[in-house]
Formats: sequence, structure tokens, C-alpha cells
Amino acid sequence: MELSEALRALSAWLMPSGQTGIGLERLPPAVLPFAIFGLRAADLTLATWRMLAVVQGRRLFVWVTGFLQAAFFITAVAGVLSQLGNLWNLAGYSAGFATGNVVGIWMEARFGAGHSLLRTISRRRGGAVAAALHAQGLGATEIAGQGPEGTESTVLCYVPRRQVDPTRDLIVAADPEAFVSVEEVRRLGGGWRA
Amino acid sequence: MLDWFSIPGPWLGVIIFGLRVVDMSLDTLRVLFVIRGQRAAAWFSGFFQSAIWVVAITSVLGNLDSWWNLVAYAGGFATGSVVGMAIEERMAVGYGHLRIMSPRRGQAIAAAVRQAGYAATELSGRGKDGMVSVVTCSVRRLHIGLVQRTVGAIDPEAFITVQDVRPLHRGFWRA
Repeated sequence: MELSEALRALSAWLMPSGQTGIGLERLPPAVLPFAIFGLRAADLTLATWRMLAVVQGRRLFVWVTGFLQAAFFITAVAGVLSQLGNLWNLAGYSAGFATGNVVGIWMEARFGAGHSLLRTISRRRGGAVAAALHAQGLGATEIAGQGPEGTESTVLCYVPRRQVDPTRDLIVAADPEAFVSVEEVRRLGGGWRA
Repeated sequence: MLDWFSIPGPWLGVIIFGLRVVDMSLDTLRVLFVIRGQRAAAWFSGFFQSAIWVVAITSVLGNLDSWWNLVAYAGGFATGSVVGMAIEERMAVGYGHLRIMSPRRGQAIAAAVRQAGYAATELSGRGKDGMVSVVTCSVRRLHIGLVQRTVGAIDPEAFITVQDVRPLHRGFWRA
């Protein structure tokens, strides 16, 4: 069986009385591309978030989101696959796919679990950066290094992912010229937090 | 394409589940290989994943005629992702960079890590309550657990993080 035939058979199952699982084809043709866009975006948001969790090794989260995503795909998204001959519907599908990717990354950065390591390089104000982080109850370790203008500091700080942006603001407030980078790390043991 | 999928009964759900597990295991492996820059492994897992998807999954999709099959489909998808992660972790291809922070026992940790046959570099840093040691150490991913136990035996409080690295030039890697 060809892919298109299989999808048509799937649609027939989802539309036993000429309806999709959630009655999408009853929508006016002008609205359908937007509905397809929304469904595909939601599907890909879950998929992207799941993939980031795969890299972090978080198995339970991967299983649950994988189950939800597959069930959502087959009940809602697969129902509109047969409608993609229409160019507007196809555009909605593709834009939903692309948007879901971006939304998934955005959601994960704000609500995702796990930690990141912030590495700050400061020419003159490394001590102030470390002190500002300590004052917020965050662990920070300052290491001395040699730069073009003499001794400079590298400050390592391990924070929950959702605190990366506020912590960056804290560092930049202590040294507006600090160079800050983020690394994805996993914790194996230990650590300190106020 | 595959006539035996027209076999009715509870076996269809089991077949759907099994195919999705294999399919998604390979897909998850492929993504992890891509991230670690392992091109050959990514090519092979991608080839077999898409082959299974086209030959088998499309045949199954036309037979999703009950809620049990739908649950088997979604369950297989979810389980396959987790199986792929477990396989990749077991294979542990690649390298990890360990960063160990210890307020008091840095020197002893570096010595023990070297004793175990790995290279370790010790840096001194300043933490909230004074000086700390930062010991960095790059090892094969397979050996991460061993190094972690070595460190834990000396300083159970040591703060250890690990991240993926790709070697560019030289370095000392215990076989």
C-alpha cells in the first residue's frame, strides 16, 4: 500500500461519516488552513520539547510526551493530511511545522527541567560577579586566568534552565562588559544552593 | 504491501506496538548520533528507520480501526523513544568532560583519578566560603561511572558535572 493510500484509509477511519475526529472538514475552507496550522504547531511543539528531553536523558518525560504526541497526531493531525492538496492548507501545514519547532524551543527554555552552566569571563569585575551570584543564593566559582590585559576571571555558575535569563541579567548588571556563554551539562553529584 | 497485516485480532495491536518501538528506537538513536556528530551511525540508523517506516508502518496505518490499535501506536511510539535512549546510553559512544569541584580534597581527587589511569587537570578557584579546587577530566563516556565512583570514594560532597565533548587534537584517553 502506498503512503497516500494508507493516509486516505486512515482519514476514512477518522471520518467514518465524512467527519474528521474533531470535525475539521466542517470548517469553512478559509478557516481550515489556520486550523491545520494550529494543530501542526501544537504537535511539533510537543515533538521538539520531547527531543530536547531525549538529549537530557529524561526517560519518563520522554515516554509521556511521546504518547501524547503520537495520540494527538493520529486523532487530529492525520485527519487533515488528505486535505493537503489545497495550496493554502499545505502552507498552513508547513508554517505550523516550522512554528511548532520554534515554540517548542521557547517553551522548553522557560518551563523545561534540567540545569545549565553559565560561564562568565570578566576582565576586571569577576569578584563582583561572583559576589552578586552568591548574594542571590547561587553557587559560583571564580577561576583566575590570563587575558590580553592581564589577569581576568572566569566565573562558573550552575543554575536551573529557567533561571538562565534572570541570572544573565544579574551578571551583566555586575559587569556590563562580561562575556557570558551557556553550556548544557548534567549533574552527577553534589552541588550547593542557599 | 504486507498482507499479513490484514490478520485480525489482538495480534494486530501487538504488531503495531512492536513496529513503532523499533522505528522510534532507531529514530531516537539517529537524533543522538546527529547531535554527537557521528555521521556514519546517523546514516545507517536513518536508512533503516525510514525503511521500516515506509514498508511496515504505512501498511499498519490503514488498519487503525480500533482504540486498542491507537493506544498500541502511541504506546509503541513512546516506548521506542525510551528504548532508543537506553540503547544509546549502553553503547556510550563518544567522550565526556567531567568538572569536579571540591572545597578541600581537590588534590587527593586529582591523584586518585590519575591513579585510575585518566588524565586530570587541577585548577584553583574561589567559591563563596574560600578556595576550592576544580579538577577537569575528559574520559570515554563508558568510563564516566567509574571516575564518578573514584571521586565519590574520596569526597562524597564533591560537585560533579559532565558534558559532551568532541576531541579536536591530542589528549590522553585511557583505552
